[in-house]
Amino acid sequence: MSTALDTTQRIQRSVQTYSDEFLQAVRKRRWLKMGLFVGPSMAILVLFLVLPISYMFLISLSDAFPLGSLTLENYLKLIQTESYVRVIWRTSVLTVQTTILVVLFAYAIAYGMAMFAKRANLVLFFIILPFWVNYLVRNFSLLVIFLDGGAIHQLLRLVPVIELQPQLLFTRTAVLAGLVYSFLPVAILPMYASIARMDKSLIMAAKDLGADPIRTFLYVTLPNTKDGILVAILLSMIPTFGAFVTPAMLGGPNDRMIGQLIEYQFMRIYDVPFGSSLGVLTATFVFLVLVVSTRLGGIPLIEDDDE
Amino acid sequence: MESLEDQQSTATERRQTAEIVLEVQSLTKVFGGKQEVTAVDDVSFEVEEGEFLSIIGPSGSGKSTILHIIAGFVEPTAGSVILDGVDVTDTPPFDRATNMMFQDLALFPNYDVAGNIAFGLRQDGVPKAKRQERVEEMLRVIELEGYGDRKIDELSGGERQRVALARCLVKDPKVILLDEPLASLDRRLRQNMTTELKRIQERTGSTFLYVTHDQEVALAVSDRTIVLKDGAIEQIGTSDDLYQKPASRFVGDFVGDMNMFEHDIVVGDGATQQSHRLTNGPIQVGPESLNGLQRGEEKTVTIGVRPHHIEIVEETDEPGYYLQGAVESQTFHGKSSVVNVETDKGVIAVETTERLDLGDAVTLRFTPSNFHVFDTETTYA
Repeated sequence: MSTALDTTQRIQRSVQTYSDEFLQAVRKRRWLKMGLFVGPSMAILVLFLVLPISYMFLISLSDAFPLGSLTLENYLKLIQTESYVRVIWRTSVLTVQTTILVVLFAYAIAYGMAMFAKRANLVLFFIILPFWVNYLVRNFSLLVIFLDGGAIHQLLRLVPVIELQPQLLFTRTAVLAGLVYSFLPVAILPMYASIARMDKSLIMAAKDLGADPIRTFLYVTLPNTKDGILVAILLSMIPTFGAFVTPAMLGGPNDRMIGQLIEYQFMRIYDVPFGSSLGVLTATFVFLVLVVSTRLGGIPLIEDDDE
Repeated sequence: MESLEDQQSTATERRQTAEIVLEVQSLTKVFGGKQEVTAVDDVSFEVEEGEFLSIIGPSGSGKSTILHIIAGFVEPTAGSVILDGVDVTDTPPFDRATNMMFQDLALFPNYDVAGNIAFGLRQDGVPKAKRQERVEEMLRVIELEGYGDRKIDELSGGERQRVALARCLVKDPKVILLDEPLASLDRRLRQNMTTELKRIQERTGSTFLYVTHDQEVALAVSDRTIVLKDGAIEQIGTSDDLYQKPASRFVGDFVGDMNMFEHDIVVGDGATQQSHRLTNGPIQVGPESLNGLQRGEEKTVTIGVRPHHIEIVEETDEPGYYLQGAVESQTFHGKSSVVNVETDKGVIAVETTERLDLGDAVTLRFTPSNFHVFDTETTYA
């Protein structure tokens, strides 16, 4: 009995000694310590982000899949084919339009919630609610609303003077509305956070110093909620540029976006190298947007220590 | 209670010498909701040009609400605010010539120090060159020369306070409203900063309306002080007035420490020439002690005595009132100490330089002229 106890104690003690020694060794070696802390996340980043993108970039520069000889042919095709250029232009325009509308609506809603809502959490809940519904289903519901004889047409019919029954489905307007509807909630959240976090006495101070409500908003509220706006721009701009489902379901043949082009290359005609070059294009866009927004100082990639 | 007349007469005297810049008339604010709360109850007072006027009172006494009504952030339920002779009760805050130093200072993080100070001038359309000149001037006043391009988060707490003050001063407002701007500082720093506020106020000749819960600091620097209780004014006066002639039990207790006990008084000549035991009968007081008392009348009142007005003595024949008790506890305050003495009249605090042991039997001597007489029924109903 006593010997068994001794043995366990001895084992415990030696385990203790070994783990102590191990920790000591780790503490002494800076690179080992760093490696243990940062290693796993770096590994995930390299495995699932850096390597795939590098591989996609490599394929986009070759003439065959999985690997052929190096060529710029895919990129030349992209620039020289008028219909592709038009799709890229259209995507860019739609992205800018969507972002502007999303930011305007989202700011108005977030501002109202942060400043006036008695039950902001409840409102927030209703804004997040659509996320529980599948993205496809949400777009289907829009489709039903825009349909000839759908909800909007029925509403228009209630107004006696207007005999207008415009074609809505499969138009650019429908695509834009769909994109705005999809990304509005995503933009509201960061804006709400930054407006709610802003010290409300700043607004009082501005008024006290002689700024009317408009100037107060321009000089104080807006600059101090800039971070939220920039995050909202990112969160609506990036997914809009690569949008696929919404233009495919709500748009017509003249409303195709890059997302559909990519799908076409990979799923219909299996032109993987050309599809990859489109992929590189969208990735470059995301990268540029991120660079610009960090330069503007809006996205705190790493929190400052002294704040 | 006699002090009310006093207040009025001194106020009249002042009115002839100094200009009234701010007048508050019967201000009342009732906050609605499930339960109506009267935060400010029929408050009237005047602020003279160049005056340092403080409003003190316990938390929830409506001090900040009064300030916010004057600034225009809160609409009064009744009453009016008259700024420099003009009724501004319905004027929005950005059109009022008042500026507020906020409790959390509310400096704009998106501007540097100069940008913060110049903000108000920019709203008034002051040209850039003039603005810069004024900012430099202000930085000199607050002794932060060369700090113009610092960011707000690079400043220490004390520096932020001064920038916030400069932001108010630069517009040269009729009144600067200070809403407990030093509340976050520790006591010592707060005293230093308040002295500095006073110095700057004197140098610039500005008018300060200063709200604080720290009565000691307020009394040290204010020309006059308003004591507020439950939204109503208990007393307005100089620090001396408040300390020497508190108008009510509340003021006596709030402004400096005061022992309170109930006792009978009889109105006589006032000065007693004999020595009495306090427990033996009514105290003889002068007719001026309490309003509405006739000579010879007897009444139960509340007596207030400051701890430093009580002596610890051997019982003698010297005239005065005596009370016996035992030392219950003692707190040292450097030079002197405060001794709590258990007596028939409850625990009495006495300030003394004597060293005593717990349980020591002591005799306390009161001088009648140091008694503050308060009407028990009306002031503590």
